Formats: sequence, structure tokens, C-alpha cells
Amino acid sequence: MKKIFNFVFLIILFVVSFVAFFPKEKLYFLLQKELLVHNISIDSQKITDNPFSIELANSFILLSGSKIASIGKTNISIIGINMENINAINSFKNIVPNVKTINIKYSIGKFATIRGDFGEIIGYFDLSNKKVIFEAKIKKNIYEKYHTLFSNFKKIGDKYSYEFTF
Amino acid sequence: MNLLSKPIMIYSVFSILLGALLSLCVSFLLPSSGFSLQDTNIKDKDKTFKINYAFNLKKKEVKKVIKKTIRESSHDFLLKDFSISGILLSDDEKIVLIRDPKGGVFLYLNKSHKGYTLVEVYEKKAKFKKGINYFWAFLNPKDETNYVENTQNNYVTQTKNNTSTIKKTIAKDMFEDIKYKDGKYFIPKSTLKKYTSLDKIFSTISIQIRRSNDDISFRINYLSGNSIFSKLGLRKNDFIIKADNQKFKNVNEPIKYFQNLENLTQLSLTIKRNGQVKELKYEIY
Repeated sequence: MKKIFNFVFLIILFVVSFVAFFPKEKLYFLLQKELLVHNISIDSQKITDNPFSIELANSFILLSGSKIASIGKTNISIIGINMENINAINSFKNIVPNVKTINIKYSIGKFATIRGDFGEIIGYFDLSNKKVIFEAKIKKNIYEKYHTLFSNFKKIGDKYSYEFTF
Repeated sequence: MNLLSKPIMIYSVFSILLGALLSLCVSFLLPSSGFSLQDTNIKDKDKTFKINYAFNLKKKEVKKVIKKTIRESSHDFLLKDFSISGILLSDDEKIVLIRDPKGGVFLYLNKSHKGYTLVEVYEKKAKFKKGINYFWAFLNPKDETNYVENTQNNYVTQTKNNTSTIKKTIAKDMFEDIKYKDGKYFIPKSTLKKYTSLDKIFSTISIQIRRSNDDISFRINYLSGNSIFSKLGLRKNDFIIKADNQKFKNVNEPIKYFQNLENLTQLSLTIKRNGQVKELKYEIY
């Protein structure tokens, strides 16, 4: 029993060491390179490499060379991704509302929470039915204003829901 | 030292070192640096170099990626920087009339206005090119609405909305003082004075120049209900064959009438509608 405990401990130590010493900035560069093929660029003013996370400050997302969104702060860690102050730029403002926070967790069940002035969107995994469900708690005027974005959402009670199978 | 002598501690240190070593090895496989486009002064050539440098790609491969990007990123958008008020089509020339605060601007095929190059002209719409993207301009606001509804691209128009109000054409009530009586249209001179610019005269009209023998006729391909020509009795698909009983000898002749509007007291247009010749008479008071 002690041997198994020691073995698990050493494995955990190895993984922690691997993650802590890994140059996460290079993963960001790899992401940049992969997205470039799809005409999407991420451009960050400041990149901070922490032992278990990477922080990006004042990032811009560009589609075919045009800025479409700015992200104030992004934190990608081993437990999830947090983004703050996501603002659409130019004409995208008419399509996408400004978002205060996006929290994504690497977990089954509730995996995403998106909050903003428009309301709240929560993402769930329904593994038994192999579905991904997004529930939006938004007002009717928001639904109408951003109809392009919410056109696939169906109204269920006082919420709007969108789901797809995988 | 006692702690280090214990096997588990030695294994722990070994695990940490192994993890660090493995992460170091993997890091060699990843790009050593990225790129930043925040410096807008960098020329495209320099950007290419930076991307090339960042990802250790051969120059030839980078060029291929960029070519692919240009081809794939070319999109069609709705033109909002300015609007068009008329289209003139002939066998050898295609001209679009652009609304402008200083008056209408005639734009020929392959010529540019505000950085937009006219590349294609149709009966009711025109296609412009700016950079790698194409922009559509429509004569009919309904066509424009349909285009916006049918495409999801309207969000990247990258333009100002200041000209959208100009596009709303001339209101119908502006022509209320034009009367039709005893087969004649009566037009007050004060109304005509309002149309000092070609921009206002050609409000949402598309004309095609037809040549037969030495004669020229003007076919109305499209006419908006808000157009002054509509109020003056002209309809879509009409052929204007004569003015003051004189056949047109060149395409500039109608322009002479517009330039001489203030001195004009009478005018007649001979048109061909559904195969029948009809005369429209105008009295300017």
C-alpha cells in the first residue's frame, strides 16, 4: 500500500514539475501559429508566464487583419480559462454584446459561465444524452437587439436555450 | 542530509528533475517566439519576415500561407462609405453616379472613389473593390435590405454610417407641387432649382444607352418610386427616344437639358413604352 502511495505521489510530483517548468508562453505562440492558418490572429500586449498559468493582458482578436474584439485580461490555467472585459470592436458591436467575464472550467456538468450587461449564459455538458446545452438568462430587448447571435436559442420559460449533440 | 538519504526523497528529486527535463525537451518543439501586429507602422513585408522568423518557416512556405489567406479572406460587404444614385450602361461604357455632398460624381469602370475601385456594374447594383474585399452598392433600398438580411457579413462593413441618411432618397412629398393636367406636366421653376446637382437629379435611376444606326435611345432599367423621373411620368423599361422631337445624336445631349434647366420653359420627351410611342409634355412656370 505504501509503495502504491509513493508511486502516485511521485507521478503527481512529476506532472506538477512538468507543468511548472513548461514554458507556457511557447504554447501561446503555437496557438497564434495554428489560428493564423484560419485567418484569426491573437495579439497580446503583455504575456506573463506563471508556474501553473499564463496571463495575457490587453489582447486583440483579429479576423482577416481586422480587429473584431478586445480582451482586457485572460488567464489560462490548469483548472480553467478566465477572461475579463471582452468588448466587440467596430460593427461587431451590433452582433455581439459586451461581456464582463467568461469562466471556462475543464469539468463535466457546468463548464462555462458568461456574464455581461446583457445577462448570463451558462453552458452544461449532458453526458448521458451527449449534449451541450447553453442557457441564457436575458431580457427580451437584448434577445431582439442581438437576434443574429441568439437566433438559434429557443425560449423555454423565462430562459433561452440552445443545445447541440456531439 | 538525512532526508536526502531516504529513497523517497531521492525519487522525488528525480521526478522533479525528470519533469523539468521533459518540459525542456518539449519546449524545443514549440515556436520560440510569436508575433505582434500592434505596431501598425510595420509594412506587410516586415510582417511576413516576423512571422517567418517567429515560426522558423521557410520564406516560400510563408508566401504560400499569405496567398491562401488573401484568397480566403476576400469577402463581400455592404458599401456604406457612400451610396450610388444612378447607373448608366452602354455597349462600351459603364458609369455609376455617386452621391456626394458637393454634387454627383460620375465614376467609370476601374476608376476609384474614396479608395473604392468600381469593378462591376449591373442594372441595379455595382461592385467595388477595396483592399482584398468587395463592397456592393444598390440603387434600390429594398435590394440593400435583402442583401443585409441574406448575408451575415454586414457586421464587418468597417465604415461610417454618416452617409446612410443620404441614401434615403428624396422624399415623395418634395414633388407634390408637380401637377399633371390636360396631358401635360406642370413643374414650378422653384422645384427645379432644388436640383442643381446631378446627384439630386439622378435619384435612384439606372439607364442603359442603346444605339441603333446613328440614333441613341435611353432605356430605363430601374426607377425608384421616389425618383423625380417617376413623378414626371417615366416608368421602368421605357425607351426615351427623342427630346423636343429631336433624336439623340450623342450621350451628352440629355446633360445639356439638365444644365439649362433654369432657362427651360417647355420640354417634350418622346418615349416608347410596350412598343407604343408616347409623348410626355412638360411646362415649366
